[in-house]
Amino acid sequence: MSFISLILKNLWRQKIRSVLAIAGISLGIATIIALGSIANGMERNLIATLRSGKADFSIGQAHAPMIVLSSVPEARLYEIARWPEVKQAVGALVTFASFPGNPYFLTIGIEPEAFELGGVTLLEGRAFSKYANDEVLLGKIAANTLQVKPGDTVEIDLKRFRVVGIYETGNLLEDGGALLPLRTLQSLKNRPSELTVILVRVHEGVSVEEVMAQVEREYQGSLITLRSAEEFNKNYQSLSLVRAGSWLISLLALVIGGIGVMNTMIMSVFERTREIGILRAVGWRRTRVLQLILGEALSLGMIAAFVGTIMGWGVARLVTLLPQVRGLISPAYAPELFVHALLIALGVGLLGGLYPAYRASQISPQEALRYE
Amino acid sequence: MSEPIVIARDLVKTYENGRTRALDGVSLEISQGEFVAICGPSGSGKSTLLNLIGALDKPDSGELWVAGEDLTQGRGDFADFRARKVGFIFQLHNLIPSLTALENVLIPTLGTSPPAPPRRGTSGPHPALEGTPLPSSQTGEGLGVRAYLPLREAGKRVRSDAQARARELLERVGLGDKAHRRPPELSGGERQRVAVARALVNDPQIVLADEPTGSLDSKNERQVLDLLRELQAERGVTLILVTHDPRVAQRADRVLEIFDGRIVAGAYLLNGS
Repeated sequence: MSFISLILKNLWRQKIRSVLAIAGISLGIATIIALGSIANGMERNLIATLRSGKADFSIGQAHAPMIVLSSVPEARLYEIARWPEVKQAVGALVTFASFPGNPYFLTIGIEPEAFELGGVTLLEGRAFSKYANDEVLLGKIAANTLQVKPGDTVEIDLKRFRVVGIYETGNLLEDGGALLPLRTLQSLKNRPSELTVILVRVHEGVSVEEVMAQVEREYQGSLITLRSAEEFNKNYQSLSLVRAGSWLISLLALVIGGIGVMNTMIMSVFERTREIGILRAVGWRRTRVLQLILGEALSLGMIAAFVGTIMGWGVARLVTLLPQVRGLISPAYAPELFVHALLIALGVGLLGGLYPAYRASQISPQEALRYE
Repeated sequence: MSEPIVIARDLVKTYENGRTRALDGVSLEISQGEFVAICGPSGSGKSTLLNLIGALDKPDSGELWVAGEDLTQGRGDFADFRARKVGFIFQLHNLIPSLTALENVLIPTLGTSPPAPPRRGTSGPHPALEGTPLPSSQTGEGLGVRAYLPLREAGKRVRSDAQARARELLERVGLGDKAHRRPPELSGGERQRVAVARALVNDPQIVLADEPTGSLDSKNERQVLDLLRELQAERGVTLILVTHDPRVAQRADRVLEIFDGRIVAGAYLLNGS
């Protein structure tokens, strides 16, 4: 028998109590994993929305809280497109529209010339004509979910559109949405001469960084340039609410779980007063008793981290099956998320175990032996 | 007669802020390898004296040397002293009910990391760490290089040594076939024999037994006392046994009688001061 097996045996002695403590912490961990992976997935998709295709960089509104709330005057597009360094610049209006059964249907207003820069590949049918006000292209996932093919009609924001083709960009969010001619979407949403992003490609041999710096200089305070996921995170705290929520839940999990573990361990130490006295009498040091009780609390946290991770993964998978969010959410399980959850679980063990372990280490062997 | 292993001078121990005087100037000597019974009525101070000798408690005043250590000095709680030099047997066996007999015997060896080594033949470093030679191909023999097993290996080795000692002790107390039974599956006498094995697993110099047969019937009482006597003789340990029962005390080499916190008979060695 080793010290670690003694720790596990002690937990196993009070099965129901240990299972309840583990269940409590696991719920917190599961919430962190489920929410975190969904937030990560949404962020990844939104980043890809900006960055897919062949553009060198994107331009959005500075200080916009979410990318879909970014608003760039169309005039900026024409100004930048005339710069000698710029080979091509196109604009897109990204917004959500209501669709039967889905109030958050991603619609992108874009001109057919911008398809290449936006990374759009036609799979079936044809592209819409530039000024058609009743033509729409459906993403591969949307078409599949809705069982719609070219020639059918769909209703977007209570207006009927004819599906002329099916496209793919490789981005889950975009492939779950629809493309409309830019003018049509601007008028449908009553946002004339307004864009969400400008995608820019520069001439060969021109430094992308320099052009980006020029944009930022020229339109200081109103426009920002985005090139990488890091820049996106820095500039668009689009999911800051979800992230803040996730942290708040982590904190709650830490506190609630910590109290649960503390309760479990205090009860356990109280019941084992005499036994701890025996350990001290046969030569266990105070620090060894401390290690034993803390080890038990940390083990509860570790087991809960494992159980909670599996539960959270399962919940996130279940959420993606909901019809309301199908195509919109794909959980992304970043390694940092698991590290975060593990640290929270260990924090819960440490927080909950420290005081009972200290109490146990202070038990006097001689008094404990008289304890009935 | 060999050297004293316990020397006490004017030991005083009070409780309840001095209102209860449990020991009132106790002086005594116990020699190495002796079997001594401390006998007295309930409340006479015999368990208090045993707790002081076992470093479970500290005297208010007086001198106390046990196995070469001054137990009145220092602020430490003497856990290492208890682990290395003393084995305890309590009236109620005090085994951990969820562990097997073998695991209960092993408990004192888990009190330190790496586990406490046995006393005999070890002066200096831990035996598992001390120059355990590797095969000559790995040691660079002839170059004056001494190789040591890695610490982890040493820990494993100490654990398996402890395991072997625990098994051997259980065999010796007649419970070799019940090593994997838990205390609730054992009789009262068997549990107390497990407690005897536990007291000896770290190979102590002194075994302290507080009413070890107090909860046993006469047949089991005789068996446990016979066993203690045999083990004390075999291993050369000093056995100090507390009892209120004169029949039990008779089995000892010497009886110290204690009354109202004072030794009234048998305090000194026959050739002592």
